[in-house]
Amino acid sequence: MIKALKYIIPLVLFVAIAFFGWQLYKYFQRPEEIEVLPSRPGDVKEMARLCSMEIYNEVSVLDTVNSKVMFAVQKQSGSITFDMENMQIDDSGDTVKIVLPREIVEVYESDEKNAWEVIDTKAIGPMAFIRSNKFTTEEENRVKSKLKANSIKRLYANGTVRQARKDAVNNLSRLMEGVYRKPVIVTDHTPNGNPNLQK
Amino acid sequence: MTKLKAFSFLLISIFLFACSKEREPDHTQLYEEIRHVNKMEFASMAVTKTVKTERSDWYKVGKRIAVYSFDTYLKAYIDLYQFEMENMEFDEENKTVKVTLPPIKVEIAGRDMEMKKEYENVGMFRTEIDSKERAKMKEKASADLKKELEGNPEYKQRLEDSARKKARSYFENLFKNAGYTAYIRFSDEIPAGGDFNIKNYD
Repeated sequence: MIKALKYIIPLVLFVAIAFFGWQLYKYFQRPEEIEVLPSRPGDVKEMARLCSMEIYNEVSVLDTVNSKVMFAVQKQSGSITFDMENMQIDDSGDTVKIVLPREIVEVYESDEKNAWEVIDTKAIGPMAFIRSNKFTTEEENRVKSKLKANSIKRLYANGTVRQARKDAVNNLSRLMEGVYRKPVIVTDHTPNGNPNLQK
Repeated sequence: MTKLKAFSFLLISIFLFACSKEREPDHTQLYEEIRHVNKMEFASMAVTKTVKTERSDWYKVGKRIAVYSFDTYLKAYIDLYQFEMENMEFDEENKTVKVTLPPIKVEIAGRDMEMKKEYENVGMFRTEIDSKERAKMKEKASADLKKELEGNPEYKQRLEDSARKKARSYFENLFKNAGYTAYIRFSDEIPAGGDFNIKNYD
């Protein structure tokens, strides 16, 4: 029996070491945890929009959703454009009269590196220590939706939209004077813009 | 009695705190840059990126798979700062105008803030996917898209072609309304030393 054990123990040890070695090898040889699938391009949308301003923002956000707090930093890119195809043009007289259309304010997450950086999340309120501090996709999307709405609101409040409309009036006058070869008056009925028309 | 009062106060405080309305988000502007531009955008395209995470090991119980997607937006435009009066040659007699537009450029406007959850299956004994992990996934997908755009000019070409077509029809209509027949071309289409040849153009 002792003689047999002399062979069995090293054999078991060898099998165990080989097994863990194999698992270790598999662990390091495993495929990437994150896999990016090939891109799917959508349809090309044709338009004619005058862009008078581009915005680059970096904002921090501290928000609470379902008794969970998130602190993050986001880099944003955006633009303020005007639909040139739905512009009222009256060229019947000696002067061309144009009405500046409503502004289209777009704010995206920038495509720069680390454009969305989550610094910390925590659970708050009663029994916080036993609840998860992790945001679900839906909760995180709620934070981002609020952040986007807030950023657009700020562009109106700090006069960026007003400045974009003013620039558009000047740019449009110059372009249209070149086309019509007569004086052009661009009228802006809402110099401060209309935040209620944004999505 | 004092202990009972203190305990009641504590209970009421906890109850009030639990019922209190969640506070408004606090957004702080860290940096802002505004660029005054004079561009005309003629085409845009959304490119969907899908990213998957999956980690399964023999010693872990349950699956941990998640698939998310988001759109990145590409825009094709011309820079009107490069467009001068001398880029338009009017012929009052024939009521025609030759217009040379600046070249079409393509840029990434940005990406969706939200991520769409396509699929999630996280077992009871596995850790949930958190915001930091989702951010990492998005980052990787964005880097991948940039590489794809650099290596494969197909998307850019499609966008440029549409934008060129749209710009042409937009300016032709605009000049038509002003009483001129317009012949539009782009500065990058001109051969070196070449003249504007209306006959060859159309």
